[in-house]
Amino acid sequence: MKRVREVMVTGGCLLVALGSVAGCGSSDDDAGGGAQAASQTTKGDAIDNELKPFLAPPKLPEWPALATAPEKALKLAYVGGGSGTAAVTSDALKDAAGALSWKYQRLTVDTSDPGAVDSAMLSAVNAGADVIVNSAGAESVKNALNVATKAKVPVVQLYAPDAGLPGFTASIAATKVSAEAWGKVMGLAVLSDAKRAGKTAHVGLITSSALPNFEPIADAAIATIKRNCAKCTADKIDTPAADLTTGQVGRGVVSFIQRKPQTNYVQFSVGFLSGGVRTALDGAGLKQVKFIGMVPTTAQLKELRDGKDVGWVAYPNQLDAYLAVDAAARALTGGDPKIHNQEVEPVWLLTDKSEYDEKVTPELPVDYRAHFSKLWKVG
Amino acid sequence: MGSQAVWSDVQEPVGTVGRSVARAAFSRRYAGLWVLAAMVAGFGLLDGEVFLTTVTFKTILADQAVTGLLAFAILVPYVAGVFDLSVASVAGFSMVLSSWLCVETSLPVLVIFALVLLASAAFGLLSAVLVTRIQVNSLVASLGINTVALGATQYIAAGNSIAPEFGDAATWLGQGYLFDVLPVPFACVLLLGAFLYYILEHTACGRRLLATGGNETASRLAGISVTRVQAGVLLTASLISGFTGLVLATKIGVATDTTAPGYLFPAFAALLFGATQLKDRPNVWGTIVALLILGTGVKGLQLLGASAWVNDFFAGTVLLIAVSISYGGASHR
Repeated sequence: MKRVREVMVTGGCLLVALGSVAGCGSSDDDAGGGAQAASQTTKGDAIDNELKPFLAPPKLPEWPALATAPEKALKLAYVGGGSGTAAVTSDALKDAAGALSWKYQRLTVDTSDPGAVDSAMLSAVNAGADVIVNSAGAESVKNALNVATKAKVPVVQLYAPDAGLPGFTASIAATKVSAEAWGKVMGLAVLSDAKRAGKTAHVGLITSSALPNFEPIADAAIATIKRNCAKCTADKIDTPAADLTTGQVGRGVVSFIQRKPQTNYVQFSVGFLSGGVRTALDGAGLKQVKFIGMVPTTAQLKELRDGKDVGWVAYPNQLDAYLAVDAAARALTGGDPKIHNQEVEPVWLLTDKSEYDEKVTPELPVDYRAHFSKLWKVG
Repeated sequence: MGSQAVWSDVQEPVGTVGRSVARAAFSRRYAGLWVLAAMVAGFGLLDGEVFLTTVTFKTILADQAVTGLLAFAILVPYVAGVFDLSVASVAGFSMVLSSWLCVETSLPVLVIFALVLLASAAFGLLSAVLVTRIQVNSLVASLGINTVALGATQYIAAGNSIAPEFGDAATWLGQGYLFDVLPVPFACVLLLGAFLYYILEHTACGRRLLATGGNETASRLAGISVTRVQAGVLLTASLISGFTGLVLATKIGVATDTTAPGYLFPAFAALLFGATQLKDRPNVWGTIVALLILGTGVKGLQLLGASAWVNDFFAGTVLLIAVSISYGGASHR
């Protein structure tokens, strides 16, 4: 009897757990669909017109040139993680530093250890860096910022959640500044694609409470979709952080689509998260789903060419690196280093009709090197 | 009287057998099967239209396959009293190396797979040397190997996502289905499980492993070559890990240095949970039961729209309950 009780207790605990989450189930499924519904509920050509400017490679805005060319032989230190994005940023920073005849040093840190970022920045100051660019996290670097401020070393933060963080000389490509533009473009692209296909868009958007940077992008996309299409639906797919890094995003997406079988689009805030998702969907026989997202990998560029995806927003990593050097150069020549703090990133939505090389992620805007050489009065 | 005696003779054994069967069926060892049945019934009642479908069944198996293979990679050394914490990192190394070789070279896929398995085995060999020759504690040695494998993986990946194209035949290993229902990776779990079950439970080799795990000194005194057993299990674990990496590479289609290490805790959870099922020690079929329970629970919760954190909470809670019951049972014996 004791053993029976053990089994029943275990089963009971699980059933209580099931009961407690049952209330979390969504019941807001919208079974809309069909060409008629689409034409009646979306704003048709207005969406295409709004989307059109983002389908061509963007151009750079006009910025004031520096008062004088920055001093040569200065030392630029870059504190970043070991990701592929950090490697691209590092290469572009080195390139920009070279254009100014500056010396360049990269310090790679474990981004999961905030103490390591502070320590690396302190090391850079102690090693005589004249400029520091950091993309490895801005949360726990107060100590290093104080030391850098005293040593009059400009510190430029890349990819912070928000611009204007205290202590930094400048902030480049803060997520919140551009989130609305990115979300809007992806939302419009989905609506445009749905309109062409004569469908109502039902979108699942990958988010994770562990990565709050995704939230404003998803919120902007949802707002765009709901503003332009009354019958369309857009819901977040809250994904465990562990699934994001282990290629298991697909299992959450499949479950979401099982719950909301009308889903025909899935949005990713970062391209590499879609690894394994297409396979999982195909395995489950859910082949009606198209992807949309940002920061494509070469795998997505190929999928896009094959017509499986709606589009991917190319990410201007190289431009961001040049903007960081530009902000530092302005700080050193008496200009306004915060000139780029509130600038929205240039947006280019790659579609199957765009001209790009599938084997490399595209750089944008194409003429940024020459543009900055002119501003910096070099070359 | 005579007939009464016969009736009595027949009935008593039947009653005893009946009670024995009932006792066995409700014993702690089989609690997992009842829990699994309760979960299926519970989720079915709450949302049967969505939960009780072939898609659910297929995705549970597909999602749990990699965890299952890695759990077996841990199981083999574990039964011989050796810890191997490097299995997930070696799988990650295998995944990234095979993908990199596919993208950067024109080697045939079979050659790539063979090279990668050999490279993975090198980690097992290194572990074996550390544990058996230099007498390093297996926990410490495998932690070191884990870090070395992780570093090698990061060096090859260089922070990038590698997107290999192995071709249809090789991709079938990670993405194929048997009879349109059974994911090939889970079929690999069942095949490997059956093989390991036979070796561990029905061969002299398996008994030597269990004996070494039970009491190393006694085994040595009984004439078992403990060092050979330990080297063998570490080599086997690295080969299973390498194979798991190949399954991952062909399953996901994009290799990164962060993908495989995240499977270590789920694999350990499945193994330890499985150790409370069917037998009172880590075992193959208990591990598979644990995989199904954990997979069904997570899938059911996802289908009910539970928040992301509930999945981790569920897996941890189930493991704690199972292990607590197991220890409770053991303390009463």
